[in-house]
Amino acid sequence: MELLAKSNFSFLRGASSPEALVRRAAELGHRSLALVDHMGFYGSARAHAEAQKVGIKAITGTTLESISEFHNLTILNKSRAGYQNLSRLLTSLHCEQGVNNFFSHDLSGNHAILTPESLLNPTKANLLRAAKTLLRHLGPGNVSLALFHHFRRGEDKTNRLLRDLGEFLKIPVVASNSPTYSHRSDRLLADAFTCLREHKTLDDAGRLLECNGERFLKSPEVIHNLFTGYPQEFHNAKMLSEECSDFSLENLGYRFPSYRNPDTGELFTDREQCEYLRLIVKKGLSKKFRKLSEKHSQQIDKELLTIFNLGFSGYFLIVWDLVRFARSQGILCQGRGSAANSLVCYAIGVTSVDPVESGLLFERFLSENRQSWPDIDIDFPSGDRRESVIQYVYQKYAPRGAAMTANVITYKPRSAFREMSKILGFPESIANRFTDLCASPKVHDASREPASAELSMSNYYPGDKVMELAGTIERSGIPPSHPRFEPLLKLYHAVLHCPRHLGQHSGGMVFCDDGLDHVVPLQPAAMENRTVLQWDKDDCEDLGIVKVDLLGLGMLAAMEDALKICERRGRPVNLAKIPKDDPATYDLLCRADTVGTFQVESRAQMATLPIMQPRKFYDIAVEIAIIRPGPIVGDLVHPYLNRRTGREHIEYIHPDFEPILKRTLGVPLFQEQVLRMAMVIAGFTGVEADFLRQAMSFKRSDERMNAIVSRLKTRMAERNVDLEVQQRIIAAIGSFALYGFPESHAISFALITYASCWLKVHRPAEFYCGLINNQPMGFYSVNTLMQDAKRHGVRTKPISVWYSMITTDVIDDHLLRLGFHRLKGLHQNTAERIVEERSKSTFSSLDDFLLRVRPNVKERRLLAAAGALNDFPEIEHRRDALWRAEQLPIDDLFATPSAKEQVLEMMTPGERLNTDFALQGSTTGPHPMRFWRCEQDLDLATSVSLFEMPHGKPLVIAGLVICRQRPGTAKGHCFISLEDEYGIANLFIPRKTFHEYKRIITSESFLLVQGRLQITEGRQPTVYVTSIQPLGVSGDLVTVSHDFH
Amino acid sequence: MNYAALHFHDLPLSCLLARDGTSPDQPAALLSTGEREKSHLVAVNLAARQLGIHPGLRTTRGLARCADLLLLDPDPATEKSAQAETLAFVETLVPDFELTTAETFLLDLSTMLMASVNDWTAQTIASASYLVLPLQIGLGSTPDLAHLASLCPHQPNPLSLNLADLALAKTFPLPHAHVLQLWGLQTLTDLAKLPRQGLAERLGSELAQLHDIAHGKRHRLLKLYRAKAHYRVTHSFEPPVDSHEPLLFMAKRLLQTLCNRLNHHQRATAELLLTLAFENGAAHARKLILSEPTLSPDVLLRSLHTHLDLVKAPAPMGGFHLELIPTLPRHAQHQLFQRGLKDPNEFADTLRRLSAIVGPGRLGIPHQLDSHRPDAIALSPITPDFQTPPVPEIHPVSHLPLKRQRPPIPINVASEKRGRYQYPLALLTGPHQGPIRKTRGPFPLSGSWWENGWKEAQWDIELDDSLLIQLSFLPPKKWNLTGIYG
Repeated sequence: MELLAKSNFSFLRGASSPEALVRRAAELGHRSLALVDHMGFYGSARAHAEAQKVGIKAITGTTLESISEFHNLTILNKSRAGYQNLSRLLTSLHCEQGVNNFFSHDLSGNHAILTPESLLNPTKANLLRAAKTLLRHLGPGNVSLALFHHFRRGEDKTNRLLRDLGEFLKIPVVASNSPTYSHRSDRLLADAFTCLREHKTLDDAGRLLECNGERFLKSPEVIHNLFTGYPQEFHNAKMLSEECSDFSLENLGYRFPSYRNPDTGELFTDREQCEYLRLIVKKGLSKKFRKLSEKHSQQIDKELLTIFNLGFSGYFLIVWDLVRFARSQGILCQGRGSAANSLVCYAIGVTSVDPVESGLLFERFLSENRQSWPDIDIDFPSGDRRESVIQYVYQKYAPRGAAMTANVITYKPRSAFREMSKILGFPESIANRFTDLCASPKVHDASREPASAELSMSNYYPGDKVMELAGTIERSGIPPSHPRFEPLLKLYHAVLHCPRHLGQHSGGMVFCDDGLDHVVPLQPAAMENRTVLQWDKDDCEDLGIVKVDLLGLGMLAAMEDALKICERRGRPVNLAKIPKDDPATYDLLCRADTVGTFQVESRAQMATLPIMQPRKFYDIAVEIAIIRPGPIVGDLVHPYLNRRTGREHIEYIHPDFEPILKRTLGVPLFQEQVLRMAMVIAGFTGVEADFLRQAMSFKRSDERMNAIVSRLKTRMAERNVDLEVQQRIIAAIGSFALYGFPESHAISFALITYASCWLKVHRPAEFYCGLINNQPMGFYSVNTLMQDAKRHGVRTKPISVWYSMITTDVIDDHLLRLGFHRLKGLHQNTAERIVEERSKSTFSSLDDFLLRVRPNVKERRLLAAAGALNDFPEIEHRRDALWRAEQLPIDDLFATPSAKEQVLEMMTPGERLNTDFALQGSTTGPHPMRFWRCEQDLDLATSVSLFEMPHGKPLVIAGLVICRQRPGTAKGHCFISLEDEYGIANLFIPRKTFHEYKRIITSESFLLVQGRLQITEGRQPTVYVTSIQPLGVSGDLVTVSHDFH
Repeated sequence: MNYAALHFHDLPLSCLLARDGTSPDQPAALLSTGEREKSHLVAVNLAARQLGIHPGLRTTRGLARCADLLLLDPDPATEKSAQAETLAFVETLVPDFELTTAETFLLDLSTMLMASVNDWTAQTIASASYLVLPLQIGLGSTPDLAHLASLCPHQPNPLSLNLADLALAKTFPLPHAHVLQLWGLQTLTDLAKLPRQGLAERLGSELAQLHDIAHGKRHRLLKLYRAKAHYRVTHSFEPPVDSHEPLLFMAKRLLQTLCNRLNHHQRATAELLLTLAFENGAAHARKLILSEPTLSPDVLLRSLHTHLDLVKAPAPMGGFHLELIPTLPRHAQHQLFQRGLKDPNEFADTLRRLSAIVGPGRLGIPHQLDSHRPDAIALSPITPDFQTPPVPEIHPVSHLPLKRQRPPIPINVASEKRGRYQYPLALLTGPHQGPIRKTRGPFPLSGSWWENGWKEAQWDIELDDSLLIQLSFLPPKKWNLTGIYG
């Protein structure tokens, strides 16, 4: 019956998590706990979930700050209406400027508590006035006064005053302990948070800190003893908590919006929604199939029946509406995730995969056995186009009917150390050093890991077990003998993973018909025109709030650009109609010529493709799923490839698994397979299998995972499953728990992968143009993409004020023209002005250009140095342009034309290269390595000559580093992609060599490498590196590489 | 050639290499101050340059290019000593010269008698060899050209100077360096070739000035260097003395001389450095800080006398050294409503005497600390205006006055443990004894858990004789009487 607890979701005002408070309350024998976080219900959802587990009631409420005359005011919800009113008020306080008179809002159904901390100056007169104000607006029976007992001087006096006031005004007085942490030991963190809040160090905080550590959660007996002189007040507290316990977040009143009749604008009834969905599905199917097969018909009937029975028709209609809007705006979109298992989703255009043809399991998406809402994620082109869809949702459900889900940003090792060392008075340089030390060993040393790693998510947080914390702190400059070393360690561990602030989820949106602000308070997001909920996606899922993920995908944006250019050039492409068995596309995949494509362009993917030799669509889905940390850690990659190439016999973990694992040659690669394995071997029900699925994708705690694994073990043991089989199944689940990939998801991605590869083969100019226009994305820099384009017969022309558009454009099938967007520092307005002025009339001279466009001096230099002014007849070269454009011409009738003397020397090719890299990050000229090779007399291998060398041959090779990788699964070895003028060479650097040459590897852009050739499976040459040195390339080129992602 | 410039290249680095006797073949670099991991190289020697290491490079990159690169942290003391040596060397060459930078000296050769400039240059380089510092002599028709010539290593042609090196020299204005770089200008020659008017129109007058310098069209006068005046004196006693009187007698005379010299240079002193040398080799050095700058030998002598009274000589005194640190005299006058000390130095003298009596750290103005800890106080130094740090207001919760016991009186108390706290029952010892009639508390207080944490629980009690007392319990079992109410 604690009424005024604050959790760490009060952000720097509470030191324990809501879960910890609730668990502790249950341990101490409380029957309820009211969480009154600061200005919101941030922690209430978690407290509610935990309270359900431990069997107590979680009362919701909040503490409002600086409202009217109150310094802070605690309000508890007595009913759902009260909760909704308070939620609306909180939204107004967060989203509207100058909302102070909160009494103008409807606060019925709530109970206000005036505490000794409610007023800055709690004198008798002030307390009386404040209590009267509350009584006037909330009415008798909805206001209480609270007494505190924190063993402080003067408390008795205030308590007596409050009791007298209560008697005088006939207001109940309640006893409370107002805890801000669960255990006494948490006081350290509470003090630390006070310092962070007040921007002080612990030494300077003085009396801002609590005078003692008594604000921990106490048992009802202890509270009773503390308030021995106030038995009635203790009783009142009990009564009030019982009164407020009637409402809990179970009765939130959230309802997923219904679809509106497009003709009348009225909300459809459930039945109408079902009929309308059936109509839409029928129309969709008629477009996709000339004649519906028996199998399809049965499937669609089954799915529609399930959807109708579950009452999800409205949900499908709303998602359909979003997709329809996007398509009407010419925005590419595609559903991903388990939605691809549904024929209905396929029929209404949400996904592009025919699940019947692909043999996908509908029950993975939706089942009558479980009541959870379907999860549909839709990919949109990242950037403005996705934002337009998001804004459409905001407008459609306005006002306050839609919001992004929150993302709780927590203290990570580096931020935890930085903040805690700061409040302990350590200089910032120590935190900087710790950050550096933390950053470099991000990849953990696998040899140090215990042999049998538990199925624990926390194993994979960098900085927890990976780093030897004490050693790292010592290396940062604080010796263990330092008197503040221990406090720092304690605070570090205490604050780690505590919430720091709320961010917004990358794409999760929640919406509601009649205002979302009555369901959960909303607050403005950092991005303009966006609001965010106070709960994250897991909280929403726990409370049955449905979210739709509107995700951004760079490749979709690039493909959309490419398709638009194709259409403009009279060679339109309909992605839905491109042949799925195009040999040239599969040839490209087989030879791993996949730079720039979706999902298969990484070094590891490119190494596997020649072994995999994909020749059909499903192979691409397997390829995408197999090169992921899950299968790699689970050691599933080699068995699959060996079986595929016939080197290994196909076997099944258990004979019963054959139908499930046949398509993947006996190797469990997909999440669906693992679920079905659990159903077969352990007799899991659909609900249990769904629980397993949730646990595998639930990143918040290990508890769910451990619980379900334990149940799985028990059930397998009951069925006398062989111990070895048990262990293999558990190991497979362990791999998927971290990076599991559903089959439907892989197939959805494979569609985009195939489309991107098809475009690269058949529309290379448009494909590269789309990629260049949508950077940053993917693995490779623009320069590498341009080099790759060159190797595929597509050359790029430099930026020119005479010809360039704002974005890069296609001139013909073999030629691109860089756009002004590639010039770092050229304002968008200037670029637009150039294009606009040029469209009016061509520039007659440089002076004409400068007078009409009026670029500023920096932009003039930029354009001249990049060679964008070279097309003017009077300009001889870039430096000539620099000299002439430095001065703005005078628009004078009598001005004499400037002399045509050459003042500055022409740039050398090397200088042009340096300038291009500095200003654009890429060059349309020769590769830097060509210049270097011309100056040298060394007999070096090239990326092409590697293919002609025998295995084991010693060699020396040089090039530009375009990618450095040291994945966690690689046991400390490093992989580098080295680009030269002919292509890309792959380097493998063993762990020992990496450590020996770490400085050179991490700091130099051009490397000269010694090693020996290894011809791996699939005839892929890799250089096994034995020594490295920096390459003496003249000038310090500003190159971009994809490093350690 | 009327002017010569002597430039000691990269003095902060080369003086360190000279100090350590590092081989010229060893690649070496001087680090920027700050953290080593994030530092960059501010100077490199020739051996490092040949490996592609140049100033401005990140340290990690420098090490990547040469794992044996000797990294040196700046050492201001060595640098200062090297500067003093170079200065002393130049003073042996000419009486008048300009100290242009800490590394460069400009000499006017027109006043010197010499057979040949080249001979003089060679002779100067030879005579400077004892410094073991790289010296470049630049000759020019103007001071600036000579200076520029001295900055060019191995090629004393002012126009061959690299513009990047010129930007590092910071002695000549080089605005728009990045534009010049874009224009492809490498050396001063390249700049000099540009049309002056076109250059001025595009990049302004500062570069036009540099253009003039390069063409020898700009002449200026040297700012002659004058050694800094010192106000120090050393005296030896023969034979050594046993008392202060001879010292004070000599000091009076010497201080008079020093003060006259100060007065001549319109300076006063606020600090007096005293070093006593004893016969047994021991020394006593002390800086005496005066409250107000003065020119009065009497004030200085009085401070000296006071201090000497406190010094216990371990052996007879063989000599002493006095130095007055010059400062500007104070010209302020007291304001009408400002209450100040008439003679701050006398007040300071009194404080010094008091400090000698009560011991160091025991004299000051007490002020309460912002802490929950009872009686947490600190002493702030006494200044002539008697200002103390601001203390946040404290609002006592009780209207009853409390007469605090300082220090608290340790007493024995009969008590019993209830829950987490000891409850007092009767006072057994101390000024007030007897059973406790009524208690209020405990009021636990704790803090500073991050360093030497403290903890106590306060109690207000009423004895049988109605006396109200404040007790404090310090775990594990110490009781104090901390005050009496009323």
